[in-house]
Amino acid sequence: MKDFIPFIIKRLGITAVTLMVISMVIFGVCQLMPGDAVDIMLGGIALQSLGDTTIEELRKELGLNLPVYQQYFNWVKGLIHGDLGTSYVMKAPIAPLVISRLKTSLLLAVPASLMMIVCGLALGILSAVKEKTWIDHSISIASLAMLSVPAFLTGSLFIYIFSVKLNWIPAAFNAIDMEGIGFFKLISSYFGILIFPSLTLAFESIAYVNRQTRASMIEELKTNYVRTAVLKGVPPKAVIMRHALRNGLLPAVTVIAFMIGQIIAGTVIIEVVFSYPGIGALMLDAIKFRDIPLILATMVVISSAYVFANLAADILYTQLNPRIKYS
Amino acid sequence: MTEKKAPQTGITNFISNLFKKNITLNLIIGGILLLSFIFIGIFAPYITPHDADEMYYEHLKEMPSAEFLLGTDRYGRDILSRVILGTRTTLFVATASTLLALILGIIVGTTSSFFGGWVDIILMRINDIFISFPTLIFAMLVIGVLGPSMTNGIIAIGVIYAPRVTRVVRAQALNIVHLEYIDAAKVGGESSLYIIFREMLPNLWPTIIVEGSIRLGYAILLTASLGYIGLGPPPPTPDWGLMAYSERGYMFETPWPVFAPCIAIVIAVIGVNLFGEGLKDILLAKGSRTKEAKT
Repeated sequence: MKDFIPFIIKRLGITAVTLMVISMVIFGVCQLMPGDAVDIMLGGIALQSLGDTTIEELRKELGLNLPVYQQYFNWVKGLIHGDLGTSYVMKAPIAPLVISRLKTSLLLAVPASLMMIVCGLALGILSAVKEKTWIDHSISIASLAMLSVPAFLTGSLFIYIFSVKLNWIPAAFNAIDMEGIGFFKLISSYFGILIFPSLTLAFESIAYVNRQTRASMIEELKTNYVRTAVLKGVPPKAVIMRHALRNGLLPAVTVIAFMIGQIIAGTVIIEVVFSYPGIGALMLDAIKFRDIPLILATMVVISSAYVFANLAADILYTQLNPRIKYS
Repeated sequence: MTEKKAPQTGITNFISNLFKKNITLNLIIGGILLLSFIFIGIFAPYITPHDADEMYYEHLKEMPSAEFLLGTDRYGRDILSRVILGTRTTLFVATASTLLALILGIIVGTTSSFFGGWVDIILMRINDIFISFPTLIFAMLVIGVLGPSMTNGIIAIGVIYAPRVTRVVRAQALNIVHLEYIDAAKVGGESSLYIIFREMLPNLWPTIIVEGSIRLGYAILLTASLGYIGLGPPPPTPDWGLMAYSERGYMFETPWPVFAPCIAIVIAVIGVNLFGEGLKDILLAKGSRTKEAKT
């Protein structure tokens, strides 16, 4: 335990450096974007009617006349203070927009993560216990299929069955008014509808968690202590849940934490399929309109969420498994 | 060694004995699927039943029929022809980006393990940072900035997969770099470049090929996903992801324009994955050279 504090500090340090480099890469790549920000803001036609002096003033106002590193530092300074800048296209501050979109995205990501944990673990344990039976084989085949299917196919299938054929859910989710309703109110009133995009989002990660759980549980079930427990007459359920699962869960927990990052990054596709107004869709719009401050903001938010999920995976792994030495 | 021997049935047994290799059913099915996709990709313009861009105005949004085997889309274009032609863009982008990732990964991975020390530390730190970038987000960033095109897609996917290849190549190369024959080459005064590419690389090929087949499956999915969100080739191009996206608003009338390209994607990915599993059984099986180096 006494090595734990230095380990955490080191990991946090690495995470900070990673975030810094990621922000630099995102910022740097955006600098390569053809065309000037003023150009994007005003559009080609307006640009000609404006005099050179007005354009210069505008650039000065946006801080675009400063050297690139200065612009980067100003941007990071804003980030730390919670100021994400102003959108070129929407001409509004970005922070409130990103926060409200992040909320709607979490409405998908949180249930998706829960589904991944529950379904992934349950299927994994089940197929490990029933190893080499038809149950195990069908779960294996199903999870292989889940890994080979692009998310937009799963989503399109859900829309086709439940929207086109059964008319249970709307085909486009941006028709639902999500503004001004509380988070829990939203969940309770739209649970039946949101379950479909969430399930689509969870699909791939369920397969990963299932496979990892199955592999580690099978290994655990073959160990001597499990055999001892069985031979001394502990009921099978208790052997599985109390003895084997505690150790078999270790690798699965890491995969789960890692997969939460994947789920957050995966919202982009799901939000496009279901026309869902989340942060991924916002990022895609920003890219299509070449709205640089908005691209920067949404990318930094999504990438940080991903990096923190990986950090959690690392820390959980070392925390839960005392055999791992901190390094 | 708890190496699981792949299940053998009559036909695979026969073929295995014929080639004196552990050939599994996975490899055969995957190989057939993969070969047929390559064949379709190469000869696409000659085997399409209709012109992929021809718009049959009297046949808009039709269900499958004898004339249009998979139906038509909202412009009256033949879906089957477009799916066949779409094999080209998707598989080309996926293959080329996988190759790019492999080349970059091999160079960085072998260099890093060969020189070791601070070269290794610095390269691996940079590598770790790129691995903590979500793949789709990075690809979106690069393509969004450089503009959607096939070349930019290849660059984006290749660059973001390279660090993942690097990690695997380096791990395997570390097992080889301490072997005596490498030392012998060093003492013999061979150049670093010669040792890396002529002495180390031949022993890394099995790992690299298996990793490449895994990457190819992911690359197909990523290429299709990028096409779906509109960051693939621009609209008139018959691209699987793009077709599924642009026709999704017409699912009320006919679902075929959306699902036909999706099914093609799934078959391609399953084919690549099965082939990869089969290759793994042959190349990384117990008793092969690389495995010995590991123990």
